[in-house]
Amino acid sequence: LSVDAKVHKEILIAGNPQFSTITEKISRIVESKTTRVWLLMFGAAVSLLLILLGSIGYLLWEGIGIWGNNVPSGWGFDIVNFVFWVGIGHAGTLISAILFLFRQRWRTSINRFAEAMTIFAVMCALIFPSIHVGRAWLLQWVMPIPNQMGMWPNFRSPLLWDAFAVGTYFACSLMFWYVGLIPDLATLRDRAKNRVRKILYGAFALGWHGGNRQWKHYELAYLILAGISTPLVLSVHSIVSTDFATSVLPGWHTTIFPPYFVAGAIFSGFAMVMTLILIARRVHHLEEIITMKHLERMNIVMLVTGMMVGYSYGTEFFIAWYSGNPYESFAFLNRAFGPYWWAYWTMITCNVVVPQLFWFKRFRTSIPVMFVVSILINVGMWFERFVIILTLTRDFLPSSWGWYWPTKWDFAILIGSFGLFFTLFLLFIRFLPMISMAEVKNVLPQADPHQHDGPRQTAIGGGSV
Amino acid sequence: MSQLSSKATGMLAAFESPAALMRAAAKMRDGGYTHFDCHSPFPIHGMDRAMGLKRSPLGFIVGAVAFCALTGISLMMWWMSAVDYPLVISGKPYFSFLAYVPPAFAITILSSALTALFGMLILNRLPQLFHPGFLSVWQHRIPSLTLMQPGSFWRASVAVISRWWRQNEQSGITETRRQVNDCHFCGRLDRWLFPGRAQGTAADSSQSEYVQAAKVQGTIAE
Repeated sequence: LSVDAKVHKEILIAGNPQFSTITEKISRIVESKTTRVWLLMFGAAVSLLLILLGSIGYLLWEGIGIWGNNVPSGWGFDIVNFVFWVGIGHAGTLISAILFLFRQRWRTSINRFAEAMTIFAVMCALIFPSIHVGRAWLLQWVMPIPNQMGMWPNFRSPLLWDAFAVGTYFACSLMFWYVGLIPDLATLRDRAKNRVRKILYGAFALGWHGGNRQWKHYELAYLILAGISTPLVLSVHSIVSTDFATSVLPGWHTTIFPPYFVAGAIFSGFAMVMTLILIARRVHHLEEIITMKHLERMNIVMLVTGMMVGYSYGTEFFIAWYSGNPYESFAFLNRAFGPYWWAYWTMITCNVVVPQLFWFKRFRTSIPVMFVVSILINVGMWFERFVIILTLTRDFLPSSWGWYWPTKWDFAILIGSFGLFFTLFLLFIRFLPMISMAEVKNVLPQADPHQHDGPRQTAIGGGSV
Repeated sequence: MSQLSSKATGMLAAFESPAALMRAAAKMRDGGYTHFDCHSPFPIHGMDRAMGLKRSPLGFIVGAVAFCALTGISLMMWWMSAVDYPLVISGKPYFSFLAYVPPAFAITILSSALTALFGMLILNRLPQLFHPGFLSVWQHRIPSLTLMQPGSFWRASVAVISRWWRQNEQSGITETRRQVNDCHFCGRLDRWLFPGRAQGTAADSSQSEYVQAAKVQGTIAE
């Protein structure tokens, strides 16, 4: 067998289901009655969301002085959380776009889930720069909108690049996700029993009927969206990293930042997908669709990206010494042994040491191990951003050294952003198919017109394959 | 059931598997039929060729829009930063190309994505609130006059149906028409939004085509 044939022969979905089993299994989650577990989780998430809304309200009323940011740390939790959330999103785009282009068929079980996570994470991320501008009601000034002052934004500023990059990222992720949803929404529309569902799913399915004349354009649109989302995976976090790298501060002004940020983003994103998917898989009994094979591959991606992140930490340290720049060297020694040493070593432990467990098949196929590791990686990646940003409280002049400590409002907004994320995620799980039915059916063996149903027919397009 | 009623506008046939559907599609293509479609819950690899369809033009459309967007945003940023509102930033040139790459890239990507989405919808004539095929193709209610075995249909979820269904819902198969009327909301709203769509070309010429097509398949019970 050729490699290609082997890839296509691989059984990705356990239990040898029929097409209708897939439809039934995934649609039933959306169609069944609301469970108590869901309600409890939703209640908890909404409570956190209210904390977010309340804190933002107070912030708009009082100003960003309620945060711990102060000279010399003009940036604090806000940018830490922004980079953290944007990073989380990247795994979704990697799974939906890059793995699609590389024909990694195992992605079909997790891509919808990961794409939803991307969108919600980017929404959480967008909150932070928006409120950090201080006068959130003048946010439209970052966009080149004609105004009475005859003023245009400064396109040479990395903060403006950020607005363009993250805004585009959000819009493209949303479109990609929606295009993927259309056939599944049509399935739900056709199964809908009550009027409200019929109208709502009917409206959002846009009249999809699944004729091949529709699929023809659809497939190309999906391919194009995957193609243009692929550079986004690399560009968005690269541009985010230029917020730091274009400055002339020690520890920030380095060329390693873009690749280092992208690897970290994918690493943390996969960890977040893992945490969420393990819960959803357990609650909704999706073990046959999201098999150990899928989980193991995700763990391998985490191992690889974790090694890249570890390598970047090492390179940074090496260059700090090798460059002979005393400020640069000091910045890194300060990270590891300065007042925030505990944050640095939390980061190293969670991001570099813990993922090494995945070298062993026993650990990378153990659900409890991967659950704990995925949470630790997220903690570690949050601390990575904390370390990058807040060890700068000691830069060039010792007389200007300072100390950053967050206030209760910083913590409230951080916790609240998780509330927003989980509220949206729970709504997604409740009302939309969390696994792409059309794509999962497509990787079932009987979906392949060439390998099922007897000998190949020459009539379908010229010769054997 | 040797022939369809004079009101019939199309014909459905159900197949056991994607492979069977694809063989049928190839026969239809070789028989010279053009007004037919193959419905499936997921895209079937190779079906475009089996049906004799041309490649979608979407790629060229997106490419053209992306090029225009790149040119447009670059000119816009140059005009804003170098002509209309020159801003001195550390004495750097007003239009230093590299600094403008990230926004230009973002806008190019954004407009390509918008074109891919809306271009796909327009090429597929979506949104379209109602399609007679919904009633039988996608649902368990299978009209008795269509040429399908109810049990096998949904299992494979694949069928060849006539495109005329979309254009001539007024003169549909009796059984289907009753169901069309059941769907008050979608049917009426769609007619209201797209009044032209209900009047298609006359179905008569195609009708025999479909009967023959079905005979080619051997699915018609004579």
